[in-house]
Amino acid sequence: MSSHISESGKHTLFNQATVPLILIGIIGFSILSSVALYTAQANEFKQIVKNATNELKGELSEKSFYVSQISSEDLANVEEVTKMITNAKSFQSGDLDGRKLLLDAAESDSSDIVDAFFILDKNGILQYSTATDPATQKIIGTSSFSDHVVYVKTRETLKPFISPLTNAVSDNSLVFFVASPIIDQLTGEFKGTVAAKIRADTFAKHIEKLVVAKPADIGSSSLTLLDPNGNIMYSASSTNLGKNVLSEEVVGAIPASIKDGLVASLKEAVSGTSGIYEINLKEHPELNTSNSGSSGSSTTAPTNPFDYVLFAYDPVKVENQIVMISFVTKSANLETILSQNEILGGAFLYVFVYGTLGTMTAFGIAVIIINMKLSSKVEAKTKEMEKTNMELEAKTKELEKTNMELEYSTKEISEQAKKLRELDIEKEEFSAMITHELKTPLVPVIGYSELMLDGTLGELNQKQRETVQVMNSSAVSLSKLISDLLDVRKLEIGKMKFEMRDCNIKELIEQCVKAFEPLARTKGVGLGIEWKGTGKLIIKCDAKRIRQVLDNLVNNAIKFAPAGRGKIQVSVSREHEGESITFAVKDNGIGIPKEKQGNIFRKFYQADTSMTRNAGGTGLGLAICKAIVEAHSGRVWFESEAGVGTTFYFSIPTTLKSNMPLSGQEMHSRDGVAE
Amino acid sequence: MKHVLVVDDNQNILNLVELILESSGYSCTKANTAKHALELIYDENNNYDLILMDLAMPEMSGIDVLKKLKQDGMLHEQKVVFFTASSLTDEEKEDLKRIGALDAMRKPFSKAELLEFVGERLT
Repeated sequence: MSSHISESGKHTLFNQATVPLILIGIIGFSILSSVALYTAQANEFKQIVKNATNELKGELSEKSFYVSQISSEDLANVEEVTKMITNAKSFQSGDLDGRKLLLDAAESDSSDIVDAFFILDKNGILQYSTATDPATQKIIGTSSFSDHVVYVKTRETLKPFISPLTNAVSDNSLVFFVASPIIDQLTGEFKGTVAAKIRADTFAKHIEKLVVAKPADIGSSSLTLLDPNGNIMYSASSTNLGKNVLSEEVVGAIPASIKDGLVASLKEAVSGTSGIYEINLKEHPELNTSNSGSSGSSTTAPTNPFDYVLFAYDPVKVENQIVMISFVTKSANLETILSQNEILGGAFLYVFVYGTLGTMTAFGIAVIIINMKLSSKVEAKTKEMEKTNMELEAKTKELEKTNMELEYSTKEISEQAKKLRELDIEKEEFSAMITHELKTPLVPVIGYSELMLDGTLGELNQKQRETVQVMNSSAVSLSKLISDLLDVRKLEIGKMKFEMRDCNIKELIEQCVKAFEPLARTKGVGLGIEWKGTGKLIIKCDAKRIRQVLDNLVNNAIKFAPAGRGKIQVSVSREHEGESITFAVKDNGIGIPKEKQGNIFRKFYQADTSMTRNAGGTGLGLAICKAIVEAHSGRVWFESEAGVGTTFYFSIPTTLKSNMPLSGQEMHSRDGVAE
Repeated sequence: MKHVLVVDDNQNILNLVELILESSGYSCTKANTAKHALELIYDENNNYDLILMDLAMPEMSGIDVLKKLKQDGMLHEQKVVFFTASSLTDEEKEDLKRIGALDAMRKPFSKAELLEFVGERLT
């Protein structure tokens, strides 16, 4: 912190005054920016909070040395300075309403220090004062002389000015003025002066409170008062009383590290050109009324030095002042003030006490007081952030817990999925087993009925033959149903195995038609093949399954074609190099009623139940066809007109590869052969 | 006369197959367990031209019989074919052939199918 002060001391007072404000600003900003990040990135924010907290903790521990020196009585003073800083901060923010409030606050807050604020325009004419004439209620300045002095000084130097002590016109109390030029922030033009009238006695009391509350405990001088010649008029360290601040005795005691700069600064201060303002001891004999009786001193120190104050003022060499009490007024834009038709600005005090030699404590305390505010703010913010941090940690823990729970759930789910998969396999095996068990008893039924029908077991009469025929066809269709159900099941769970090989479609069609010729002939239905297009008829597909589709469609066509005059055309078309091959099975049957067309590929749906009951059928055929074709990335559709006939189409891409995964069909590997 | 050993745990199927085969001029021996089948096969007095065996049988399956025969170096002397009521995919058929079976067919079957299947394996 001391480095902050000494660095800034090279600049103007005003800048020094802003140092803690900047600090506040920096902390405030870091908090604000941290907060802004809160919603964006909780984790990132958490880290930032941690870092910021650590930083702040570091700063706090740095200050703990000073803080430890503050007694509880000082805390009241801390409050006061805190208010001032807070007000100064809001003043700094430039909010007009804030300024008005500030002015009011400054007046009340500093009422025991500041007697009155007043503002002079660029011509030195009083524009505003918090002091009013009790008789006329008109605003009044302090004294035309004082007004004139602060106006001239600030206009000349464009710098803050602190006047010598003077007697107030009103009550003859000892007062001084702190003034600051009002400078147009854009043009740098002098616009007027703001000033505060301060009573020396109340100010001294403040300084006493702020700086030298317990000189004995502190054990070194806290405030040193110099006369215009540089003689030490007051020092808590009585050994230096009456000595000249530039004497070898005093200078010799200055630590070597700061000696040169300090002495140079003292010389400049004592020369009187840089703002050591004189208390005319002759005019103020009360300063001498009660000597401390220090020996060999040409000047005696006052017993109650804080009734009056002498202060050194050097805006440039601040860091090397023995005692530096500065009052800085914030520049205000008078035009703005005037155009608002009310006074929104005003003088305000920033109080800093600096020191190096023998007044280190004063320095320390003053800085502590300011920093206490920061500290308390920092502490509050730290607590706030720690709270947030804790909340975040709690949230994090909660999230971690949730995460763990989720991980656990995920694990559980994957285990469940595994179980389900196993169950699926079991189900499939179950399906296979059921199929096996259902079909086995059908074997003798179908076999024996067939033997009865073909005469192996002796001749049957017509009635017997018809009966056995029904038994046989029923058993056959039951067997077919069981196979279809297994197929459907396999297709549904993606366990249908497709063996993709080069397949000669021409042969496939011819075999299919040949197989159905006897049935077609029996029913009196013509069955023909038509080849369309010039494309190659060898494609990659599961020949057995494509044949199953064709068989199904042809079987259906025969089923629904009119007996005796039915005509079925199986056609295959592929354009030259065409990327798909289209199969069509056309009949001249009754057609599918429009209202039933939408359901035709649904499982167990039969457009004409009476027909299928007679002809046998499971209602699964078309659903299976669709699934098989789609597993080949193909498409199935139909055209139908009542009374004219129906054509079923399906197309298969010619671009399929043997190792191409088909609709996720993947037969799980089995050990050996399932039965 | 060709002699066929039919193995199935279902007596009805055994009788049916016997009826079909004998009506077509085959001689037929029936075994309703794998164990009985093995006893018959290992009996030096017996000589079968074809063994038609069910896959799924309790205690010992058709595949077990096949493995046993293979293990005992008896398989080269025997023509084993399977029939099964399970769905029989090409792949499964290939698997069976790989372990030494001649072929396999599905149940149920028509008389013609059975005769064709058996006939082809015996020519």
